[in-house]
Amino acid sequence: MTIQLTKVQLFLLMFVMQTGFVYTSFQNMVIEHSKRDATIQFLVVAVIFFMQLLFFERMHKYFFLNKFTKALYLIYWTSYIIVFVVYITYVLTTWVFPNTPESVLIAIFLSVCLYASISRPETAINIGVVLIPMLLLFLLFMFLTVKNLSVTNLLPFFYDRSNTWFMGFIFSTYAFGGAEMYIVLRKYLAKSEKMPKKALAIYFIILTSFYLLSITFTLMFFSLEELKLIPEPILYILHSVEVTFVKRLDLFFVYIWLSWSLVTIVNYVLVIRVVYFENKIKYPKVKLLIFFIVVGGTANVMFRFSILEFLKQNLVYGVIAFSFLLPILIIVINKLRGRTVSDSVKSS
Amino acid sequence: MSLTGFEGEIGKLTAYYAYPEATTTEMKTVIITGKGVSPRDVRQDAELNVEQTMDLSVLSTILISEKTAEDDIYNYLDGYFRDSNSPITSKLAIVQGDLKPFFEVSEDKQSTAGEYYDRFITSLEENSMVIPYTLQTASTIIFENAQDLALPYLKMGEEKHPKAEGLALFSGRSFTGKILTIDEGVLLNILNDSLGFATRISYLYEDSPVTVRINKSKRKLNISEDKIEIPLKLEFILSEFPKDNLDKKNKRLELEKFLQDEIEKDMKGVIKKLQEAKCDAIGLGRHVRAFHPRWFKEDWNEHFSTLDISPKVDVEIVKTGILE
Repeated sequence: MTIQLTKVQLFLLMFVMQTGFVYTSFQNMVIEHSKRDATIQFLVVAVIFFMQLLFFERMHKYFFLNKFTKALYLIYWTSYIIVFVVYITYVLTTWVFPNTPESVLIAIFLSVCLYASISRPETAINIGVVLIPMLLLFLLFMFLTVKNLSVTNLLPFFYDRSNTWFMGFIFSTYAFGGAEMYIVLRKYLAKSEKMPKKALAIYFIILTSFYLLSITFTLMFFSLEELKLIPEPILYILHSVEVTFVKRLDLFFVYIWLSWSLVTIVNYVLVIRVVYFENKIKYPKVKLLIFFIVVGGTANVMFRFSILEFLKQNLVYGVIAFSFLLPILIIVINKLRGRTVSDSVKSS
Repeated sequence: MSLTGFEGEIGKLTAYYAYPEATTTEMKTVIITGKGVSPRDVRQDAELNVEQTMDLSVLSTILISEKTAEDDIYNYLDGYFRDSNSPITSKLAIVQGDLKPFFEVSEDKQSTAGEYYDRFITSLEENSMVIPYTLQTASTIIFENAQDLALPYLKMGEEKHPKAEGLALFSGRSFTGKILTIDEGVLLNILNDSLGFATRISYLYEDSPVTVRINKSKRKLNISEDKIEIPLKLEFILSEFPKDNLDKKNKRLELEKFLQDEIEKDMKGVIKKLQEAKCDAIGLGRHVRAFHPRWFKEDWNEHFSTLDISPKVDVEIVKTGILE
């Protein structure tokens, strides 16, 4: 399967994949360790991410996956999707459907993903557009809580460091998980498209501002001790918004996040299809069906609060390895060997 | 259920629930009681008295008896934060004496009992008599070691009608037993920079009443190690002043000086009460921690009570209504 992307499509895919999984929850993990330094630590990691984007853009011709690295990424992305399915199911059962069996939720959720994934690739590429108005609404309602924010909660910096302060940097990388997608998808950018540094900078600023807003709102809205009890701070903030026309506005946002999550999974599966179905394969739809059955079955088995907590605490190391370190390692090795994408295409 | 309340303590708790029951001609409030060891347990007990599962998704107000609030108040509220169906925008109030009469009073009301107290407390907030808190914003303060709660304090009036008595002062997570009066509550809101829609202050000036409404208020904080100065610039609109003649500058300046001295004196009284209760309801601790962290102490309540805190009020009458 081959695709051709415009710059906007590439960044839209990146944005959805980099936000859909963790936007409502990662603030809790960062602030738990970095406390009031969370914004600073996050910005440091954001700058590293931007430098990495520039590096990827400069070196993208040296990035290609061999059978071994393809297998590694397949395992990683599949695991990432499974963890996310477990997480979204957990959130749905606690916030919206407490009485629905999780297996039913997983089945419905993944059926929609499967349907979108077996459609034409253009569907998966462009489906993220529907999220844009929803996300603007998401932000608008977050701003309704401004009167309850306390700016003094943001300060002081570098004063109340815990023993695990450094972990704030580690968990901040959750926000930039999926960075590898840039270099994986870069070769599918239409030949006519140029990628100026300005475009990368704009994407970086939008993504960083989007996340920074969520961290500052979380810090200003909750006290630090309280935040330890709130695993989904953004949903909780929206839960506290009172409007006259509906009693539980948070349900509306859980559904927005659900759509956001669906699109994220569809986009991840698109990348898996692009990478693994690069050469024409037999029965792609059956293989996708098997893939979703494996994901759903595993998520169903892993649906435990204790397992989810363990995964949330440890998946971040997978993010660091596969989003940051492995792409750089692959580029460095290929650069040393003098092999480029065009060489790999010729040899295959 | 639109209204609930607790009295007793963990291990021996009583809760009341009020829900509306509509007939073809009228709507009345039904009160049910539950007893048990915890807030969730009493709810289960109360459910034995009704024909359906109790639904707290439209809960508007939670009343807590003053004796119960002397315990760690979070013990009674945890269940409301944990349940996604529970609205965290409900109002909270502390009540004097027995809880049941506060529920009975709503029996013949046309609106639901919770809405009645919700409107009652909202009106106090709009008049800057109590600090506006919801269940969620109160929870943030419960977990915050640099600020304390001051919740509406209600008592049963002589005509069996709930009356706002003032503000119940908390130190940490527990009610101290000390309260501010409603007038002091207004001054606390000025100090706290949490003014409602209308903030009015009344005094007797040379045997004549004078009432002013705050047009604008600007608060600053000058913080040093053991002294906090609170300069306040207050702009007033005159609401009531039968003596008139404020077009004469010296008369106006005299009145402004009078108001300034009186407000400053009363604010000192409010701060003294807060310090005696070890209740930093103004949230000074948050500012000290943010901008002068070396002077912030983890046991802030204790430290707050030893600080030299002085308000400096600067008053200006900017409007006199449609009369001179």
